[in-house]
Amino acid sequence: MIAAVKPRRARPISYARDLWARREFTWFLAVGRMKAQNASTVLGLVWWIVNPLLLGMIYLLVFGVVLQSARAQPDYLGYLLSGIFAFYYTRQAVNGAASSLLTSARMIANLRFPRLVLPLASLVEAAAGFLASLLVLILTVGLYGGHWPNAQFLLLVPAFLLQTMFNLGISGVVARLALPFRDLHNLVPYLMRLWLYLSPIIWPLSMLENAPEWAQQVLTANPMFSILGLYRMAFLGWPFELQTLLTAAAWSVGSVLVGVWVFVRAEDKMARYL
Amino acid sequence: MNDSAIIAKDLRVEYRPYVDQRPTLKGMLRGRRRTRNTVVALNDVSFEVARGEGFGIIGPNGAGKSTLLRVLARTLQPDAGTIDVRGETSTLLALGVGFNPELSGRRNVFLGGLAGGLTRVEVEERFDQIVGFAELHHAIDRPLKTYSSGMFARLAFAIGINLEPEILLVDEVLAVGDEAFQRKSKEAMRALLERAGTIVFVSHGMKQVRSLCERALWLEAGSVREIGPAGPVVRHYQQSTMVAAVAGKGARPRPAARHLGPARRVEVVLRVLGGEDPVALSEELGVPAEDIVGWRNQFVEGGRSAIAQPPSP
Repeated sequence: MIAAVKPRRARPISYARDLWARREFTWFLAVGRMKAQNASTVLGLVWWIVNPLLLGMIYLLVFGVVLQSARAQPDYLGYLLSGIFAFYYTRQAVNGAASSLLTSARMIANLRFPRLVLPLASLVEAAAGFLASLLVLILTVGLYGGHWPNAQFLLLVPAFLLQTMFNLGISGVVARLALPFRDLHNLVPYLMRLWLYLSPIIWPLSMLENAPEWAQQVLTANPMFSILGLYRMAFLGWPFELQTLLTAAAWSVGSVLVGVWVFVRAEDKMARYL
Repeated sequence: MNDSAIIAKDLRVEYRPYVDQRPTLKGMLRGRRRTRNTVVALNDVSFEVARGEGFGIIGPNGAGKSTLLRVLARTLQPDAGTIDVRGETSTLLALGVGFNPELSGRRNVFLGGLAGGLTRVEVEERFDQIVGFAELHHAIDRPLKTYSSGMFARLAFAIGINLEPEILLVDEVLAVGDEAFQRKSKEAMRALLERAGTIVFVSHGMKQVRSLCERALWLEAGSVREIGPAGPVVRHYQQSTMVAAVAGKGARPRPAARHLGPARRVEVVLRVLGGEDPVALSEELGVPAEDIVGWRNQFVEGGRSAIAQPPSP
């Protein structure tokens, strides 16, 4: 007798196996969407590079030239662009996650598969865009600041992997919440903007020293602080600090555990929210 | 019972519009979180489907047919009751789920197949078969958005049937494509039944239910009204929904037409489900064929509802 399907308590191992069995599906969903995007706009995937670059230029103009943050931060362009490109990856992941379930409502209603496939596919999309945009970042940082890839450049690998884990966790929470709370969709851009301003991207690090103690604590507690630190070690040759790596790792592992748990726990209810 | 493919016991599904659908921020702030007005979509539904059986689910719109199918597909957890589904399940619930209109037909075969649970290699192996079945060799590399709705549906059906499931859940798909394709899809479903596959078939096309299914379940307002051999169940259901106002020009409904059962609405046209044949109709209603000025098939698949041509005098 096969066990009756009582409310399925997701068991981590069998869930992971189901998810693994759907890896090709996840990949095809992501690649399909990228291709579709490429086919429907003139610049297509080039937007992935153009978008953060344009954003960087605006900030460079406003903060670097007009407000002269550039003076306080050595190598401001590299600092700014590495921050924006990396932040843009998380931003895209969160945006994708927020709409991943709603745009696949028919699939959720009709097909049985681990729902995590959907935010994962969005994440794959964001990751691919980010990796492609790195070429431009490497060129800019090299041509402008003379930082060409060296041995420390390998830190890009843990930086990318940790940020991807971190993003997956956030995606899980956002996707889960965006399903019943459609209001979230409107809030996400503002929250992301706030997060951008709270991260060491447009303001120079030296600003921290003059800030009150509590503000320092708040700003350095930001997970982006350590993640961006890793990228800058890789791209800008900042001195390697083990603590930054460990902090980023702690954030990422914590995020992915909590995020996936929050998401999977709600899977059975998802079809009802659509 | 070892040869049961599906055993459903006391299934109950409730939708709680406020709680389940959209708790908005506004609603939360007001503290109005739970309302008591639940909508019961399924109420104590129990049945078994044997392996190799065609099983029809019929009933008016909103009776809970699609909800039931989703419970069988296990995308919807019942609030109470148990459901055993034994075997690989494939759903043709909604055609073309997972398709991306910007991409080529070829790419969408892979998307659809993978969405249905195949691996990439399996889709590759079945690719020619799928495209052959859909008769879309010439168009397979064109973007899906350039397909006609018939072509779209053919491709989707071809993928669904080629998932080679043990249990196929079908929601109103036999109406796709032209007549030749409809015949072909019906044959494919028969072949599945002959391989001891099981089909659960939701349809408003009573002729199709009768020809494909051995047994049928009549759902009414979420409850089982009747369950048994397809022929009688379909007939009783049809009789209940017929409005027996058959009329010629100015003629009154005849007594024989009147006693057909609880009429929902009286119209000058005959409202009947799946009644395509005026001669059979006139026999069933006990009125001369020339008195039937037309009929309306309210639930014509594909969302189009049309008044059929009156039979030629």
